[in-house]
This record gives sequence, C-alpha cells and structure tokens, in this order.
Amino acid sequence: MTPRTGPGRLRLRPLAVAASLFGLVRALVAADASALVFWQDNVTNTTSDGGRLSAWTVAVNAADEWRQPLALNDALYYGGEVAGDACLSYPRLDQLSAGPKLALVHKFGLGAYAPLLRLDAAVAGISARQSMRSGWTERMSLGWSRRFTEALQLGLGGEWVRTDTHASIFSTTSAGLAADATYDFTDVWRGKIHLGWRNGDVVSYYRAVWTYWGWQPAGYYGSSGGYDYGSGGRPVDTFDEPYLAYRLRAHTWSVGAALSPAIGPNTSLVFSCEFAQTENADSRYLNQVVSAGVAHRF
Amino acid sequence: MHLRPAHRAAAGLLAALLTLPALRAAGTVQVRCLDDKDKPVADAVTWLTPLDTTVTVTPPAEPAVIEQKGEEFHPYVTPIVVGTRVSFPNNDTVQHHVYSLSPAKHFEIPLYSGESKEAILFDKPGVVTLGCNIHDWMVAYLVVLASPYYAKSDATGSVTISNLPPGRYRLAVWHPRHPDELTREVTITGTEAAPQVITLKLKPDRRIRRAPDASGAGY
Repeated sequence: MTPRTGPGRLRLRPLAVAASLFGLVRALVAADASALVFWQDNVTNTTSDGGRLSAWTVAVNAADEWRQPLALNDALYYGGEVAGDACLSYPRLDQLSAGPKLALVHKFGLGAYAPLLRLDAAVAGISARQSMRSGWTERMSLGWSRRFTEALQLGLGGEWVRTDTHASIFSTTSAGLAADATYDFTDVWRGKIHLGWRNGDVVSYYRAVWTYWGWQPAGYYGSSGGYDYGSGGRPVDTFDEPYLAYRLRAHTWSVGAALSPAIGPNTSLVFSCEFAQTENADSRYLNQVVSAGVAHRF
Repeated sequence: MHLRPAHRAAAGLLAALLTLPALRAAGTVQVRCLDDKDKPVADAVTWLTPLDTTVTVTPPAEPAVIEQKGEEFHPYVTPIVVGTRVSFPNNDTVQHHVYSLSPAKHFEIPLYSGESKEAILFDKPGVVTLGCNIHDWMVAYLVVLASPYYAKSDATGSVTISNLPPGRYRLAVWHPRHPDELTREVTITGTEAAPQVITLKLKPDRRIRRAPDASGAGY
C-alpha cells in the first residue's frame, strides 16, 4: 500500500481540475455546468465494523447539447458531457469522464404545462487515477415530467447503467426507478425531494489483514460481516490502509432533499442531502451524502 | 393681393380664434398607476372606450415587433389595436418556439432562428399570453384593443392619452399581475383635469424560475 498524496497537492488538485474544466466549458460555450462539494459518510459502502470511511469530494460537470426538431412536438438533442470527481480524502478515487449523449424528446402538447417524455442515451470514457477503475460507462434513461403550476413540477424516471472497467470487480450493471417533486417557494427559492430505488451491482470495501492465506477481510474468522467472501475480494490500495473490494448484487432505497436559491437569472446554489440503504440477503449498509455547490447555465 | 401688416395680423388672429374650439375640444387623460403601497406600477395598459359613440381603429401598416433576446421576450407588455400584425424576430443564438394558447389568439411558430417567417395577425380583442415551448420561463403579453385611445404606464406609473374627443369614456386598466380589468367612467370636457389615480392590488409576481439546479451528488 503506497502512502496518500501530500496535503498540498490535495488542496490544489481540485482547483486545478475545476479551472481546467471551466476553461474547457468556456471554450465550448457549454449550456450547463455545475460544481459541487460533497461529503459521504460511507465511501467504502460497508458496515461500521467493516471499515466504514467518510470522504470529501469535489465534482464538476459540464454539458452542452444542440436541438434538432424532428416534428412539431419531437426533437433530437445531441451533445456531450464532461465530468470530473476529485476526492479530497482519497485521491486514488479521482476520475474524469467524457463522452457523447443523445436524447429524444416528445412533448405532449404545447406550453409550459404539457407533459414531457425524454429518452436519453450516453456513453462516456472513464479515465481514473487508478487504472483498474478506468473504462467505459453506458447509460440509458427514460423520464416523464410535468409542470402542474408555476411552482410545482413532478418527474418519474427509470435508468439503466453499465460500467466496464479494466478490473472486472469494478464492472457493474444496475437499473433503477426514481421520482422527484420540485417546488418553487418563490422566484428565488426552490425545494426538491427525491425518492429512488435501484437494483444491481455495488462495490463494497472491507478492511483487510494479511494472513498465511493472503489478504483476508478483518474479522473474517469471528464475524461473517454478511459478505459473500466466496466471490473473491480484490486487494486495493485506494484508502489509507489495506482493503478488499467486493462486488455485490443488492438493491438500494434512497431518499433525498435539496434546497436551491437562485443567485442570478442563470445561476443557482444547491444544497442537498441524501440517505440510502443498500441491502441484499447477506448484507446491509447505509450511506449519507451531503452536498453544496453551484449550477450555471451559459 | 397684398395685405398691409395690420391686416395680416388681424387675419392671423381670426384664424387662431376659428381653430381654438377644435383644439380645446381634444382632451387628455393622465393616469397614475400605483400599487396598494403607493409605489408606481409599470407595464399597466390603460385604454379608453367611448360610451356614446362608436370608434374605429386603423391598424398600423408596419407590424409591431416583439423581440427574443437573452432568452426573454422584449417588451414584456405590448398594447396594440385589433388588426395589427406582430413579428417575433429571434435575436438569440438558440432557437425558440413561440406560441399562445389564449382564446384571443391561438398560434405557434415552430422552432426557428432569426426572423419569423411571417408576422402574425391579431384580429380579436383580448389579452394574448406569449410563451416559448422550449424555455418555459419566457413570457410576454399582447393586449389587443378595439380602441385607438391607449397607452402603457412607464416606470413612474404614468400614462398620458391625448387627442380625445369630448364625451364619456370607459377607462380600463390591465396589468399582468391584475388580470381582471379595473374600470371606471371618465368624462372628457376638453379642459385639463386632475390625473386619475388607479390603485392596483397586484398579485404576487409568480413566474417559472429560470435559474437551473444541479442534481445533488447522489449516492
């Protein structure tokens, strides 16, 4: 296990990533960009006795898309998206992704209150600091949304995501459903609640110890921890100490809320929190994510 | 024929006396639009409809213009007379899809950039709410009037309508945040009258929010 990157680099790296992405966005005249700082209480996706670790991450995202009308109520959107995650706590989780995206949009009528159906497809290449995490991700989603008043908007959607990485243990497939409600209390303050369910692969990490038989999860002999160790964990040097990565099939329920004050016609701040519970027949763990950031439309 | 200076002055005075009644007959109405906190209300459309005679309106030869710039309509409120054509040039770098679902005029101009293909004719009185089918926050209002006597309040809430023949009129005021017309009867005598003060109890300015939000960093 190699030591972590120095603290000086920790401070500069996310700024450098954000600055270079912002420059790229400006060069491309991107339609939307956001930058978020978020805290996860359980970046290792494990139980408290399994070696749960919290982490701070900076996430930046920029997307641009162009519209091609197909019919009066149908349009094709095509564009691209660039995203970067800089994990302040565990820099080996850093990654950049970029790729094209495509969407078919159908509006059921005319006006702000007509329902909207949107089918999205996106592919992105992932370049991770740890090459075993690099690869490709494919995403498809179908979403329905409708504005009921100037203030209230509801959305329902389904999503399928597949990630293929150099190390098969990080290759995952999942599908999920989500519902959200957005309410604008005033022209400035927007509130949002979110409910989600997902089923598929998750990567969970468990603190490891070196034994005569190689790396084994700590407490393996005393406690099963609920993990399917038989699937074979992969030793990783992602964190401060040795961990084993496991791929599990599980389902996740999540609930979240966000508050977003507009600070300009095209800019808003976003504060959000999300709680998630992931479980399968053998294991169960919780995640909390708190984030703050800014979103801007160019 | 040559007139001596004294005769020319007398003729001029006579002409002035002959035209004075007509000038005095044309009246002016001044209106101040205030909210219930006595603050001036801009963009209030004020018009007068004669109660004792009928009036005809002549639409302008050139179309009125409502521009799309910065993903907003400009101006926000436009009063026009029945029969006016309106063009909707798109001076943005993105396409817009202008529409109205209002009973006074139902139309749409599918996604376009630059000049709209043709100006739209507004041939029925009423309020027409304009929107963009892509950018939900974009909104503007056309107030189509069957009277030539109208004006829109400025930033000070002031409205001046001139060249009104003497008589009784119905004074009406409309504002996007006061969609029910506020009316009263006024009489034009040709003499200067004190400004009409209209107090509008405005509804909250609720519009669809424009600023984006990022989805939180989900688990």
